[in-house]
Amino acid sequence: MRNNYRIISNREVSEGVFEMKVDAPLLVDAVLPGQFVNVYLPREDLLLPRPISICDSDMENEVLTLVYAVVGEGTLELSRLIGYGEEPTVDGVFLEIFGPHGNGFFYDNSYGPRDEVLLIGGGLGVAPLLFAARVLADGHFVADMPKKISAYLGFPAEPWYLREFEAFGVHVHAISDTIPLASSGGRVGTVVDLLNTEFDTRGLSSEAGTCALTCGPQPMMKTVASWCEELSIPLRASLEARMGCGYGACVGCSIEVKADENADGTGAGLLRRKVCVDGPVFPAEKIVW
Amino acid sequence: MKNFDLSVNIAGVTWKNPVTTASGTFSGQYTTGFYDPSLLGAVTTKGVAPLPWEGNPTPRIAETYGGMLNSVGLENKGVDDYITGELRALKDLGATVICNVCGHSVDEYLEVVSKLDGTDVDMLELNISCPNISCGGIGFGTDANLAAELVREVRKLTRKPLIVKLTPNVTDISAIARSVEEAGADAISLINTLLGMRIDLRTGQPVLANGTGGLSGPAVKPVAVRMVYQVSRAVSLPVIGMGGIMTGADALEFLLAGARAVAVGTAALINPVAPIDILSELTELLHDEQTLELLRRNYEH
Repeated sequence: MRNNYRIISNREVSEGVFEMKVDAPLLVDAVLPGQFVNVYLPREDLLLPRPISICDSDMENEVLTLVYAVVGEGTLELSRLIGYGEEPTVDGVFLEIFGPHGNGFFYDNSYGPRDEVLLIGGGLGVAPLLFAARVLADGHFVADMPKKISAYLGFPAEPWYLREFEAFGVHVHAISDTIPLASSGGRVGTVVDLLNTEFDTRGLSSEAGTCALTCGPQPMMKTVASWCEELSIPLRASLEARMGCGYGACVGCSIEVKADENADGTGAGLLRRKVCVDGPVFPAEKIVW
Repeated sequence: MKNFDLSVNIAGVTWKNPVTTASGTFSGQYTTGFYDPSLLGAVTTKGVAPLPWEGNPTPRIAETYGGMLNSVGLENKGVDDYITGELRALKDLGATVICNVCGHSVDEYLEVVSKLDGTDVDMLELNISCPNISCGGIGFGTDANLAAELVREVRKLTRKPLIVKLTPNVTDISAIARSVEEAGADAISLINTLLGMRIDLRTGQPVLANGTGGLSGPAVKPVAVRMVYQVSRAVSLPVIGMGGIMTGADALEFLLAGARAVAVGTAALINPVAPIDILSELTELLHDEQTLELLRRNYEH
């Protein structure tokens, strides 16, 4: 599905991190948390679409939210587009979007029922977890709603979106690498520091019916994965990759994942998978960190 | 629009129109979710080797001004999987299928060709031009004698129409084209990607993990048009032109340069239905009597 959608707003929520809202009546009920869309830039020399993760989909108001970081020329161009909600004189810039692509966090139904879901995000990886929080909170895609949703969010500087998570009833724990936050007891550090404290204070374990989703920088997710493994908490991780096409044709984003073992314990080799169509979400135990 | 016969004959195979896909940009599994592959003159599938290849480390893709670099390195699942999987599915959909064949050595090419010979694949495209593998590929395409030797060996094994895909990374492409013509090729396709590099200004290192990659997209089109023009005059074989075709007008430019058919590559990575869009734009352009006259005049040469 490739269409033009009117940009409502495009604002910087934190240094270098932008939130774009678009009127997307055709997309809002077609997207799943953890999926991404290909966004085309209005400059012909910037040939390739940018894969941008879906941060939220508000079906009632038909608004799709995308969050992206300015990391290069393409995303810089994207950050310059103005929405009609910001400038009354702007009639509405259209953005060409193709998608959704990818499997999303809830690619099968084995994710419920659960007592508690942990959303563990770092930096830009916080964005897709918000959409996951929305569907967990309203019971979409999960057989039974979790009794509790907790978010552990790490930011390089000022945090963003904490209220948005809280609006879905999420218990939010945030920490910043550089700024002491009240919610982390005034200390600075990483998500893993937060998780360690949490583990010490309330003894999380899989027996409590806990499962987790994560998205963030690769080293952070790797640490989260070993933390979850130690506690036998099932974890799904959303990977980032440099993509060409985003729909499975170019084989640019291919990675190795661990194969399932046969019943006799053989066959547990490595398989090649495409982040764009086989992921971007994978069970953490299959990822070769 | 009135009915209009766009069919072309490439090495004895009738394509219903002169548009195919460039290898490595069409997936029998994924692209067919966007359009019916039998609508194109043919579809060219990604390079297959005797056994699965892992390809190169990532990142494999880098955008450049008006183009892109790739260093996928011909990751593929091997010919056996291809025959029972992608080929079967595409033939069942009624597509005319060209299989791009790759290898590290003559023996590897021959192994793939001998397996494909017994299938209903319509045409073979020998990839002697991939810049992203350490041995084979471009090694054959930059040496007229090696290229001819490979084509001769393949020719002995199969009567399937044989397209040879040339690399632009040579001094004299006409010499290579003539050499593979004499060795028994039935058609020539060009260009494969131009060897390129992009440096990350923050790290000072190449963006691609492999260092170099193949440049494609509109940035390479003038080079491709020039080489199609040269080769179509150097040999009497039909030429399939490709390199940065984004529109019907681009496709027409290749036909006017001497190509009998065209392939759409990078455009399809940007938009999976690009080959279909380009076909309909080209069809419209070919309804113009003056354009047709130009094409006729060119074919007479």
